Amino acid sequence: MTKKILRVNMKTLETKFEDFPEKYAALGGRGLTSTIVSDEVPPTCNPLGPHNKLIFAPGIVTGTKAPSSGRISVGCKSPLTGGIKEANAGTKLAQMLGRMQIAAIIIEDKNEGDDYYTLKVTQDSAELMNANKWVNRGLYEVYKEIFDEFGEHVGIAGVGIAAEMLAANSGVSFNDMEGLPSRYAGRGGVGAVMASKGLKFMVVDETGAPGVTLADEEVFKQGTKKLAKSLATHDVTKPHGALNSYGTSVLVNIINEARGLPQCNFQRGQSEDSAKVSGEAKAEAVKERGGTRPHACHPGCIMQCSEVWTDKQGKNPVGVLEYESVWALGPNCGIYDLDIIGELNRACNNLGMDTIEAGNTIAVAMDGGFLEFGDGQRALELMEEIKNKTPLGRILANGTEFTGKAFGVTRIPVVKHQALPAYDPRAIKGIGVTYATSPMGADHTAGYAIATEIMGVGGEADPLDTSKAELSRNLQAATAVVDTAGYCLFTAFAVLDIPEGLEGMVESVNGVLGSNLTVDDIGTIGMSILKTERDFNKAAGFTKEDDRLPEFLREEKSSPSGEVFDVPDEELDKVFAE
Amino acid sequence: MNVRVKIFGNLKKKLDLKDNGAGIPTIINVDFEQDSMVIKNLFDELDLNTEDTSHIFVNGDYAGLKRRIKEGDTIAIFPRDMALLYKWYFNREGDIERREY
Repeated sequence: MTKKILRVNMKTLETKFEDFPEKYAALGGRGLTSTIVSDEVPPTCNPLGPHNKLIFAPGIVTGTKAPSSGRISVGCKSPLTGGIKEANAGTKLAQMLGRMQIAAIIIEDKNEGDDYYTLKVTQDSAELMNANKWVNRGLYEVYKEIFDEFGEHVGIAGVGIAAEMLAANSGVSFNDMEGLPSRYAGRGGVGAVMASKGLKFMVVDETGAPGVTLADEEVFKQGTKKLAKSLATHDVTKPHGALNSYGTSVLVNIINEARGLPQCNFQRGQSEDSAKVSGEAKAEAVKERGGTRPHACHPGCIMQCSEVWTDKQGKNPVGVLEYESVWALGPNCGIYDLDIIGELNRACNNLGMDTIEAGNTIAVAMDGGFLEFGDGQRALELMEEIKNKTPLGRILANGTEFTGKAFGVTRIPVVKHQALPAYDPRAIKGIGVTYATSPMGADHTAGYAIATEIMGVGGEADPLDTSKAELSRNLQAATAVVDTAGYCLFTAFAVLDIPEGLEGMVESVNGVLGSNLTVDDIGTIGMSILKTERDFNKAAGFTKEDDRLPEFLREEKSSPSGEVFDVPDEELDKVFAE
Repeated sequence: MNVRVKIFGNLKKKLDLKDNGAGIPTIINVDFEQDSMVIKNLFDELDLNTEDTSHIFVNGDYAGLKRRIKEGDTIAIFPRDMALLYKWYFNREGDIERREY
C-alpha cells in the first residue's frame, strides 16, 4: 500500500485518487501544503478565484502511535495576507487521513452555481453531495447533524457563515473529541478559500484504513519511546505540568507580569484585571462547573492541554479557551470576564472565525469609538451582525485591518494584513522579529519553539547571546519542520531541554520514511520550506518592506514598560538574507 | 528596605497566605534590615524553596536568583507548575545558573 493524493475538482465535481509523487516522498503537513501551493497555484492569482487551491495534509508521522502528532495542515494562497498560507490544527481527522494513506487532498477550481457541497472521503471513494441545508447555520448544531447522518466515528472539517461571505477572517474548523467544532486551522482566511470553491464540509470515514506504513518499525518505536518519555517528564508538558494543569492560558499572568499582554488594542502591556481571566482562574471555574479538564485535541496526546469550557450552568460547551483567544477577546478588548470571553469564543467557533483576528477586529472597532472598551454585551451583538450577514457584519468578518480602516483607526496591529497575537513586540522584541518576517504574516506559532542551541545552526550554545535575526530564523526553521512532521508545536518545550527527546522525534520520522535524518538536518529542511514560502510571496509581490511591524509599535511607547519596537530594519532583513 | 512581593498560583497555599481567588496573586510586603540584597535572600526570608518556583520578575523584568533588588521593587514569583515561558525571547538578568524550562 502506498500513499496517494485525492484531487477534487469543484467545477466538474470529479474526484480522483492519484499516486503520491516520488518528489514529495519526504514531505507531509506544512512542507507538503506549501510545496503543492508553490507548484500548482499562480502566486498572482485571486485567492478566491478558480486558480487558487486548498490543500489538506496530515503530518509525516500523523496516524501512527507517535505521541501528540495528530496535526493537519491546511494550505492555500491567503485572501487575508495575499501570500502563502499554512494553518494547522490538532484533530482526529488528521490521524484518519494518515491511516488511510492519503498524503494530501487538493481542492481545485470552483463551483459555478450557488450550491454548496460536502466531500465524503472513505478508503476507496470520494464523493460530493449537496450541503445546502447547512448553509446559514451555526456550526455547533450542524456538526451534531453531520454526526447523526454519517455516524459518530467520522471526522469533520467545515466552514461557517463567515466563509459563506468569503470573508477574510474565516477558518477551517475541525471537530474535537467531544464532536464540538472547536479545533481550528484558523488563520489567514483558509475558510473563505474552501467556501469560494463551493465546498462546505469534508467528512472522513476511515473504515478499512490500512494504517501508516512504517519503513523501519524498530527505529520508529525507539524514537517514539524517547519522545514520549521526554514529554512525560518535562515540567511544561508532563501530566500536572503547566499545559496540562492550566492550558495555554497559564501564560496570561506570566506575560502580563512581563508587561507584554496587550490591553485595549495594544494601548498598554499590563493590567491588574488580567488575573481575572488567567489560566488558574479558568481551570478552577471548569472544575466548579463540571466541565472537562485536562482534555486532548486528538487521541494519543500526552500533554492534554485542552478542556471543555461551559457556561455557569455547565451547559453550552465551547471547547477549549486558548491563551490567544482569551487575550484577543478579553484584555485586548478591555474585557475581563471569562463568561463573556467564553460566549465570544463560542460565537467565533459557531460562525467559523479565527479568534485572534476576531478579537483584534473588535478591539480596533472599540478604538475607533464604535463601541466602548470593555463592553462585552455590545461585542456579542457584533457577532450577531456577522451571523445575520449585515453590511456591518461583512466589514467585521473581513478582519482587523479592514475594520480598522472602516472606522478611521490608525493603530492597526497587523503584519502582512494579519492581526498580531498575544505578545506585545515592544516588551518581547524577539517575537516581534518573527511577526515581522514570517511568510505567514503576524504569527506567534511561526517561531515559537526549539532554541538555537539544539539546531546546530549558528553554533553558539547560549540562545541569549544569539542575535535576534539568527534566533528568529532558527526558530522559524525548526517550527516549519515540526509542522511538517505532524507534531504539536508544544512538543518543542520538552525536546528543547531533553536532547534524547529531539533525537527521538527525528528517529520517529526516519522510522516512517526509511530516511537517515539527524538532528543537524532540521535547520536545512526548515530553511528550504521557508524558502519555498518566501519565493511564493516574492512572486506574489511582497518585498522586504512587508517584513515590518506597523508604525505605531515603533513610535507609541507601551506602558508600563516604556518600550517601543526598536529592532532596526537591517536586523529584520538579516533574518532571511541570502 | 521594603519590597512588594506578588505570589502566584499554588505558592499562595505553600506559604499559607490569604487567597483572594484563583489566578489573583496575593501581594505581601517584606521588610529587610539590609538596603540591598538579591532574590535568593528574599527566597530564604520567605522560606521559599527554589525547586517549588519557576518564573521570577522584578518590576516586570525577567530575573534570576542573583538579580539585585532594592527599596520599592515589585517581585513576582510563579510556582513550578506554571513553568511555561518562551525563554529564548527573554534575557534573564541575575542567574546563578541557567535553569531550563
